[in-house]
Amino acid sequence: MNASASDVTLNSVIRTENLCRTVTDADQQALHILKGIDFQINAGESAAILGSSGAGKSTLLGLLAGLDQSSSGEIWLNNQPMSQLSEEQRAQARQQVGFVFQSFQLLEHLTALENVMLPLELSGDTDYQAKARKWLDNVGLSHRLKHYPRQLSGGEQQRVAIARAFAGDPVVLFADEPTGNLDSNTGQSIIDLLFSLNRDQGTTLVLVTHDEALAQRCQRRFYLQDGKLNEQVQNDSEPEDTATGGLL
Amino acid sequence: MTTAVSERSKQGNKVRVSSWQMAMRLLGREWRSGDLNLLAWALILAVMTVALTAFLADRLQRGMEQQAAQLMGGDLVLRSPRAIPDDWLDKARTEGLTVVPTMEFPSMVASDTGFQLSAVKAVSSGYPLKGQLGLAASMEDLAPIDSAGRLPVSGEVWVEPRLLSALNASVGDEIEIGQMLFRIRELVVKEPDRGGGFMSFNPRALINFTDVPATQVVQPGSRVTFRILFAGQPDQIDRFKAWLEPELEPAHRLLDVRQDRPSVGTALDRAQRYLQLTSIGAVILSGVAVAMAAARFARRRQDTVAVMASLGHTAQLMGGIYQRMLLVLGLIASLMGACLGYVLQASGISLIADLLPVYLPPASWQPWLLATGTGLLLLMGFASAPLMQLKQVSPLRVFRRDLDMATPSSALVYGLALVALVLLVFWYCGDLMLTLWLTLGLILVLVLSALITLGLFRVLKVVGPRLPSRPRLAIRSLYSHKQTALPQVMAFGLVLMVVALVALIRNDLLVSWQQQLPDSAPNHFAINIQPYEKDQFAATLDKAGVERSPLYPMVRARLELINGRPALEMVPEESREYNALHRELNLSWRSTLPDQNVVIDGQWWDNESLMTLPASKQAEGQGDQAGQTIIPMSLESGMAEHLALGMGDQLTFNLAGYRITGEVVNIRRVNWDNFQPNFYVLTPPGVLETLPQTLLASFYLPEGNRDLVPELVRQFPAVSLLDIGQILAQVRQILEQVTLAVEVMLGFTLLCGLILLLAAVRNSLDDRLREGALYRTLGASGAQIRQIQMIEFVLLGVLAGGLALMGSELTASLLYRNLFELEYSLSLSHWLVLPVSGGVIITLAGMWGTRHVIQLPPLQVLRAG
Repeated sequence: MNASASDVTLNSVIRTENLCRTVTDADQQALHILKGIDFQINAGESAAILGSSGAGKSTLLGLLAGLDQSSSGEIWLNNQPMSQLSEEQRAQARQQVGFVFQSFQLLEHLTALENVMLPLELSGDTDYQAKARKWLDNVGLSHRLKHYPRQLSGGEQQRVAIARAFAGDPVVLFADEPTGNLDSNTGQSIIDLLFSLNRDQGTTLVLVTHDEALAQRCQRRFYLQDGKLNEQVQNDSEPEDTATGGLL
Repeated sequence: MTTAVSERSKQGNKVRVSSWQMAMRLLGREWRSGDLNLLAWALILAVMTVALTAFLADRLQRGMEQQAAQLMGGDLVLRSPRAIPDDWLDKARTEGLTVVPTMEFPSMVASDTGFQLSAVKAVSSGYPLKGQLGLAASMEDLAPIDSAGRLPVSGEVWVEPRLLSALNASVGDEIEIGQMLFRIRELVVKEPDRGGGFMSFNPRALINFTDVPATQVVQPGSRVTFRILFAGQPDQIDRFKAWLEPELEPAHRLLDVRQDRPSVGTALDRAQRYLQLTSIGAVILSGVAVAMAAARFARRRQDTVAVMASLGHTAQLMGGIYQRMLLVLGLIASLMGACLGYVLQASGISLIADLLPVYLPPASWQPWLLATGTGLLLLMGFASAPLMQLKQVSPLRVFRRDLDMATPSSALVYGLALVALVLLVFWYCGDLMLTLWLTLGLILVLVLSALITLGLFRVLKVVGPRLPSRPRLAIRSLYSHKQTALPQVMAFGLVLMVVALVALIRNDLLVSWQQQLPDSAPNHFAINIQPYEKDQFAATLDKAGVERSPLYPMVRARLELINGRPALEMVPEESREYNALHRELNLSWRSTLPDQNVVIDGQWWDNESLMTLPASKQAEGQGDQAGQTIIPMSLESGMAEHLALGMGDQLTFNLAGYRITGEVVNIRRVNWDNFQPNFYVLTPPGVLETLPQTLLASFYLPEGNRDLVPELVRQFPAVSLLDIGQILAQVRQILEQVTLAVEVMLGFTLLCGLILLLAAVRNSLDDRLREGALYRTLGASGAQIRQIQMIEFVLLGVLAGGLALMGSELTASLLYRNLFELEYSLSLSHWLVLPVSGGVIITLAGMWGTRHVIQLPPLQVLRAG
């Protein structure tokens, strides 16, 4: 279901209007990945974007986070029109955003602590080391501070990535298949951690997944198919994410 | 090698595929995928660089030698006091060489109005084989006109203008040489092979070879020098030389330009060494590029090998296939590089052809072999180690991408590279000394720079956390990447070092050549100045405002005894024909060591030691006939070497009946390149003064002041004036060419260095792109990323500049004395310029090379990673 202009509320964190993304393939043929998407997510909400492989979920997520540029249409992130921002301004906007990737995307040459310190240092935070330690402690890795990513298990790496994402105190957290590279038990504990921190921090969460069970834990669920986004209306107002993870 | 990829060929209709076939297939696929491009281009660039320098060096060198051959009148000259056996000349002709016999002898020349001792030269058809014989239209117009192959016919004599002045004769008059009358037909003003050194002071008379018997001057025992000129292709010359050398007797001298013209020879030797050095520099730079590209390729192929290994083909086999693929690639790239190098040098030279002082001969086939061979050797030495490591990739990597292949051990990487380098350097220069010095310099530089860089990284690690965020992040990135940053600093350092070294040596070579022949180098010698006219002679020159040397007194004497025995008995057999034993030598006296003379053994006498010279020696030395008194003597090093003389040897000279005996107390190295008066034997003042003596001076006469010569001849008829302007002009022309060669090579090395810096930056681009994307995802602005990168590049550049400074100073101090015979001194400006320019150049190259880091959308980069 597309959001109409009248539905726009003042507390929307993400809003799109007629968002399109087109790429050209090897034969120079235009490929329309996103075809006019309109939707909005309000502060504190959790939303899942579902869809089959190649449907364009990650592309949409990248656009929402300001990591890529749309072909047409507009995205408002925290009420800032992204297409009208320069790259510098978009970078500024991204400081209010956290990102968790399927492939962790940690910097291999930096320790766990240094990976978490990095966004804090980039934003000019002077208390970067203490905050990074605190966040690694929050995700249960206070004993792994000096470890390099290759010395950590997949689950531990993703926890470092989560600590890094939350350390900057983001308004929105984007998660791209956060459990895609993990076994189900580890995946479950990561998800529990993610939702728990999200709730504690009051962060807006947008995650991409093809896991229905995971999507059920979000307040809102959107399906991306043939370049169009449709929201699945919930019958019960309470999402399944009421249970806290066993981790914390 | 026929190792089979498919082990199951017996099953079904599977075909056995050899590793070579597989390698060829892979090569095609890899090429299309584009991943092989960097390595292929690094190799093509490497071989192209080497080919270009080799072609240029080959052509410039051949050009220089051709030019220098003109100073001898041929490519090769055989000098002998006796007639040369005919079969030697026949052999030369059958080798395809052109042969022109000439003959020189002193003879009195008489005209109706006077007579003069003259240096007669008899030439035969074809003379000169190289260079030009220049004739003057008249005594008033002495500008040289090419003789266009004409020579004096029988009965004709062509003379130098000063012979005409001395005889008070004019063109068309008859003169007598021995028993034959000759008519003066032409004035010779330019003779390509005028004299070896300055021994033939007497004016030239040029006659036809066939007229020699009729003069009856040449009799058994006459002092005659036969000079046979040869010309031909270098390989013909080499073959003939190889055949002739064993036949030669001690009296024979086979001269190429290096021996005939020491001043030109030194310049050519140095230039040749410089060209070799720049080629070797290019090889080192190329090696660095190939090593980096190969490491990158191996990194990117780990997944492929892991997947294939998981499918049942061992990593060993896959690694082998990649190595074969690389060999084929190396061959193709080497050929392409060689062709590109050839085309580039050909078009480059045709572009600057008008600026070149002479026509450059076409390149020989050797650079082709050198370039392709270099490509393959570079590949083996610099690219094998990373590819060998592909054999150790674990199939488990399919599940765990973080399982890296073992990093090649430093010993393996550097060891192989060093072996390849030593082989290449030796192949290039065929000079064990150069190879040893360069290898030693490189090892020292590599080890020291690795230690210093690691030390500095540690310092940075300690200092970093106390700095503001951007330098802090830059420093962290640098030291946390130290495994890649260390080779990068060393590679940058090596590139800068090679460029700095090439530039440094170029400067000092040019300065030394400039000093050797400044614009005001003396172009005239005046000899036979009598003591009574010395003041007047000096005053005449001074009045005309002519720049001149002091008037050096000299006493002519023959070396008679060595340690009391006849000199001829005491010298080595091969030295018995040494010129200095058969003619009068010029002895002089000095209280101070002459300019550009260096005492290499013993000590120069100072005033104090002269005071302690026993009075009897000073007094009795004068005119002592018994030869009992010993005087200190200073001997020129070349003469000492030829005659096997050393410190403490006693030499007895005969001065027209007087005998003086001296003891060698020091040996001097004399710079013969500078065209200044030099003496074989010097004594302290106070021992030779009362003996019959004449004086010698050199002076510089500008083009517009040539009228002074006839004036001097008229005023001082006994003084012989020798114009060496022609020789100077020829030497200058060669030095100009050598300079151009050096400049071209420097320019090219700079260009190569810059390209390789960019390639090196590109090598780390994958990592930088991904890091940049992540930084941006984490909220870093483009400006922030660029600033962090800039600080990182500045640090890298300054570190590399520092290493280059250390390396170039170290290597230069080794090379200068041992290879270029130049004095080495630390240059302070270098100490500032290198680290600063290192920082600037690497920052600019780095920033340009990584400009895409903030241009590509982060999502695109992260997905690709």
